[in-house]
Amino acid sequence: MKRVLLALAVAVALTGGWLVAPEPVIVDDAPGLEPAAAAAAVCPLRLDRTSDGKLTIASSLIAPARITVGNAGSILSDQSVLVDDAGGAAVLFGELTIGGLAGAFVEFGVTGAGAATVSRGEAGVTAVSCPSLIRTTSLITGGSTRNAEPLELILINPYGSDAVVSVESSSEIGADSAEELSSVVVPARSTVTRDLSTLLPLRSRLSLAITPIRGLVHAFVEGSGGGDRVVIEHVDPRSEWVTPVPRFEGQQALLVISTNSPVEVSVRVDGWSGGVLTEGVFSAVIPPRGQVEIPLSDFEIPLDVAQILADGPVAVAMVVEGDAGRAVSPANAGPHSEWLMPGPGSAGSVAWIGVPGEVDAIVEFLSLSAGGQSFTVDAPAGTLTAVPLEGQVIGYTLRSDSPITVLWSVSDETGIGLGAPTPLPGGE
Amino acid sequence: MSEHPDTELLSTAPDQRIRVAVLAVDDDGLAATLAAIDRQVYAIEGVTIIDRDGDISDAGDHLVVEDFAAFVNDLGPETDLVWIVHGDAQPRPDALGALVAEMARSDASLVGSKIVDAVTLDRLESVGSATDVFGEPYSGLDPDEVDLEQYDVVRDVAFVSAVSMLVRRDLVRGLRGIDPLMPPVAAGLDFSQRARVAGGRVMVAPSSEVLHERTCRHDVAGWREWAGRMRSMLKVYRLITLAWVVPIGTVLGFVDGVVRLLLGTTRPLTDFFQSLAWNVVHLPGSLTARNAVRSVRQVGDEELFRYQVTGSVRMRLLATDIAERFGWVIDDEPGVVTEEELEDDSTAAGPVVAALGLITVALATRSFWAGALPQSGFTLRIADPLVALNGFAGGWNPAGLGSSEPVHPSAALFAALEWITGGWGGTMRIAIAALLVTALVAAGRLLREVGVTGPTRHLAGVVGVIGMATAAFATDADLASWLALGPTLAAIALAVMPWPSATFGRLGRVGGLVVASAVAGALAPGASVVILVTCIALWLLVPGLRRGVAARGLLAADIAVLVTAPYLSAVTVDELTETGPAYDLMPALLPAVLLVVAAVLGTLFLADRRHRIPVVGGILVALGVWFPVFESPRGDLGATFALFAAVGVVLVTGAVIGLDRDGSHTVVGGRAVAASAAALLVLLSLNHVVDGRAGFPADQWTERLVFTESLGAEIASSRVLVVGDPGQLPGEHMSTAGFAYRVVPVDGPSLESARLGQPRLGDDALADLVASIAGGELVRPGEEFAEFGIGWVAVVDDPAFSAAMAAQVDMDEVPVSEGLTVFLNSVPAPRAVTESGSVWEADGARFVGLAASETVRIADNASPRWGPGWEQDDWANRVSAADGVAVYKPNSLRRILAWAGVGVFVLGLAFLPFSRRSDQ
Repeated sequence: MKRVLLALAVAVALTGGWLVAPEPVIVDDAPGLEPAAAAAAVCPLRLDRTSDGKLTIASSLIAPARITVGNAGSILSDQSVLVDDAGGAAVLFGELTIGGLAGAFVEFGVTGAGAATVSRGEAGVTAVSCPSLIRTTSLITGGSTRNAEPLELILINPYGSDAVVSVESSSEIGADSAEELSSVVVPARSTVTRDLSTLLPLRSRLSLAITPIRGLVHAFVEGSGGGDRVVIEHVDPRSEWVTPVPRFEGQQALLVISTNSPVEVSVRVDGWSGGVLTEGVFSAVIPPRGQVEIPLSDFEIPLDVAQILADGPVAVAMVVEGDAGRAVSPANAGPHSEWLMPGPGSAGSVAWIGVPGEVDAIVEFLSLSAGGQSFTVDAPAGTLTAVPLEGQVIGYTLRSDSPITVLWSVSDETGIGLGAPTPLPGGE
Repeated sequence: MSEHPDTELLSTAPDQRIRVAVLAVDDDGLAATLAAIDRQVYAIEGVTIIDRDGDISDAGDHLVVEDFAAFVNDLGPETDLVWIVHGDAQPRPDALGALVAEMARSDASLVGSKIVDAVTLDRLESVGSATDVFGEPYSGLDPDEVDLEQYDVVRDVAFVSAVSMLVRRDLVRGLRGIDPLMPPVAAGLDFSQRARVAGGRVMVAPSSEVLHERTCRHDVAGWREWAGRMRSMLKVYRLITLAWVVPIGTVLGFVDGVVRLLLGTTRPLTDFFQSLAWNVVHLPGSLTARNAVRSVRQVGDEELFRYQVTGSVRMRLLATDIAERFGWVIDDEPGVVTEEELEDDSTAAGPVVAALGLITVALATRSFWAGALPQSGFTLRIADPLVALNGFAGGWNPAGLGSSEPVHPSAALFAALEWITGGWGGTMRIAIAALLVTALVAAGRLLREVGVTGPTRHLAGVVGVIGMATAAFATDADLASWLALGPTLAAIALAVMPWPSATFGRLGRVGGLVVASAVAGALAPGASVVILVTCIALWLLVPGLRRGVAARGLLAADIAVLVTAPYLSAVTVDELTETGPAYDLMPALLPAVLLVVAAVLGTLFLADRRHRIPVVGGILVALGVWFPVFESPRGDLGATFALFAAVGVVLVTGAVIGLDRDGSHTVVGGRAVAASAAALLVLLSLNHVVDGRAGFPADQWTERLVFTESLGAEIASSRVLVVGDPGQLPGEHMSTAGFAYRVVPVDGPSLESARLGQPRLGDDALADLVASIAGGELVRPGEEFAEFGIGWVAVVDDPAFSAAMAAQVDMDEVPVSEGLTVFLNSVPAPRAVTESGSVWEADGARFVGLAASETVRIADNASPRWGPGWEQDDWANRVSAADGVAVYKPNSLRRILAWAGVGVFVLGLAFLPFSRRSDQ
């Protein structure tokens, strides 16, 4: 009997734990952070004998910026730029690079900052809002290789790791990629180009989806429409966009919407015109990895402000083209009440203010140049307000008492450049 | 003793004129020898006494000469044969006649007698021998083998004993007699070999029997025989044979000496060196003798080879001795055989089963002792023994960003071994092998002491070492705690063994307890608890064990605590329970069920007190497995539970695995099922034979960071940040933002740096930095890493962190290998640098550099013990550079405790030999 009790005790000791032991708790390590974009941006610099440009930095706080230009794996220049009390700084391309095409990596001292370039020359006027890092698939919308127009894909890798990206394209004939673009290696601190007019010729509207396989790049296309040089930066696709519709005499305005979605995406365009909102001025279904073009100039009532709503990720480009040249800029990701607008301020500069709502806006233009003139503009609700900027400054900070959408342009006899400002955090 | 047909031999003996040469030893022996010669039936011409020492006072009327050469010179044609006889031999009356008859019958040139011990009168000393090629005699006789005429066959042999041999006169003259420098056995070998190469036939005639007093050997050192054999080789072998025989023989002699030294016998090694030195000194004489042999040589070395055995006799004897020693270690105290054991036929099977177990474990752990240590988890090499020892004894711990916390005692133990052996690469391997063997042996001894005597008990050690309990240690590759099983079992066994009655025995036992518990405690500080609890449980539950078992268990536990006092006195409870390796203590279902079956049925059906062993084992397993279920402890507490489980598994398995057929069908059946369950546990353990790592992870870190040497020659950095899957990182890691990481030295992870301890200021700052990178907020991490002395970031199979690192500009990604993404910091990252940029180098546990009137920043966690002129620099240290050296002032108390532990351990070692002395 004693043995039986002992055996029972042993059995209980060895098996009892199973009865009372708690369910094993699977403790996952804390989920990894989704890395955000650092306070930095990349600008393409094209410097040749016929054109020069200026890189302009705008910052919400006084903090030094650092500009590093790398090429072929090495650092061409590395310089700190002092952002003055007005919140701006500008550097000529010639101070950063000795010529040709290079990528400038701009590190901001604070998160509320942005950069843009404006270049002028015989090839036309170009305005580029320098994009910050996009870690996932990005889209470039609004390119064209029709009429044998040159178009070049620019991939800039300012980082310490080699990058490999896949580029898919779509045009009016649907998704149509080139094998040569399926895996493009971009070495660290290097810029790589691909001639799209050769690889994807005769596309009236060409959109690109750039997917990083390893490493990261900043992507642009550079072309020439009607003799006017145009540079389009990549954007992070999303489902809602808003943009003012700038008006240039003799020029057509159109929206190009592309998607990298593997399924169809329905889009609807609502428009404000003369303070009146018209919902669904345009609706369409974009085929998978396709695009759609909306000729705004063909509308009976010209739109002042357009809002694009989609049920999938899309990128929206505002295209202005005509005899005076061509300009392309991404739309705004949403209305904001505070914007950093480096770049405009020289001759031919205009800020295009749209007020997508029912409340009038009073917009304060604060010069980014020390001693520059600041002023205030009234922008009625649901209308487009063009504000000429002739103050010979390097840009502005815009503060509005209600959300607005903004594009800016520079133009002269050689062409037009169109750019989008940078929204300040918390300014929604 | 055998009898011989003397009369028959006499009738066939031819008429030969024989002179006897008696090699005098002493007066007493000589008289008996001369008397025996006088009694010879066969007629002799005369007797010459060769008195080399000149100490013979009573030679009667026989001629006395000083050496053999004089005797040879005096030999005239009136002599046909020479009978050489030792002065301590007593030939039987027919001995000479038998020699003469066999010589004539076989046309031999040299015939030797059968030599029998004159004291016992029946123990064989020689009936002719073979040798190996190195001259080592191989008689085939067992020690003290009785003469039952089993070797009475006339045959050709390699050599005959010089105690009694009959040789042709011309051969004696040609060979110039016996070499006077040779000791007795070697002299016979030498003369026989020279006779054979001179074309003579060497035979033994067992019918010629000679009793031998062996007085001739009394004053001859053992090494002289070795030296004589070597001289004989030098004299007779051709050069081409010597070219390989001498070097190989030298190596074998050295190996034999070293191995026997490890077995506790110093003499073979000293004999080896003495014989070597003797031959060097006598080389000229050997060469002269060699020339003499060349003048009479008739046949080649092949004729010698015909009578030699293959291989090395010395190595055979060594193997035999090891096997015998192994059998002794496994089962018995030396020289003690009880009546019970004599009746127990299992004692013969014990060594065999133990050997099988040893082979199994050896195969299953071959990666640890047969090659480079497979480094992963907490199985790591010692990088700098002195730094490790210093860190244990109150000095700076270099792990991670450094701390004042002590290095783990297991690292200190291995570091001490490395230091003692001068950094010899095989130290860890030998230590591992020794500890594994200890586990097997100790398991068998422990089970025997608690009443389990069957040979299969030795298999319990196999289950303990590579069985179900091993999985817990293998979770994070905690090699040290796993190896602690051996000394833990040894300490328990020593505590359970009966307390010796003799003082020396007690001293020896205490010594053994101290050594075993100290090693166990150093490897796993929690072993002290395991030893104490197990001893108490055995004392309480197993009949026949006295209170002293618990007392000795307490002593062992105290010793284990004492040697680890520098560590235990400094770490917090959290560090003992929450840092360090993890242990997956939950057994797999099948082994768990088998263990339960074995324990329950063993408790029910095992005979006498043995049924209590599974009870104790079951309790220990339950303690080890179920308590941690609620907390999943890590580190030393986790290792303690794992050790409990392992010791319990050994006890359960060992108790039930043998099959006892006494009892009813039910009882025998129950035991059979229990034994089968235990046998299955053994079989399940065999799966590790395939991987050879006992289930431990494969090597992950040997030379994995070697790129820092080839690619980082220009970089003054000393640290690598390793980021990756926690299971892939070496040692302990930290986590932030979902990423596991740790800092390791550029020359790779090490055991002394495996444990990181509690996070400090620098660790927190580094965590923030890693989180910033992970969050994508930092584009210049290189500048930040340089502050930590980190020159490299190595990402192991962690695409997410690699992706985060893709958006930075001051660390260059370097292609190294698949699964390893490496970033090289473009910013110089020295660990210690002055304000003016002068880099200071680490020199052991300190930093040295150019003396200057400025300060040097040391990128280690801040500690005011750094000096001179310490001040805190954020999380780091800043000290004066005036002396050109920065040092850390060690903790005095911990240093004293460490020396106390060393003292106790050395004392234990000193007592250890008494255990053997008490048994003799």
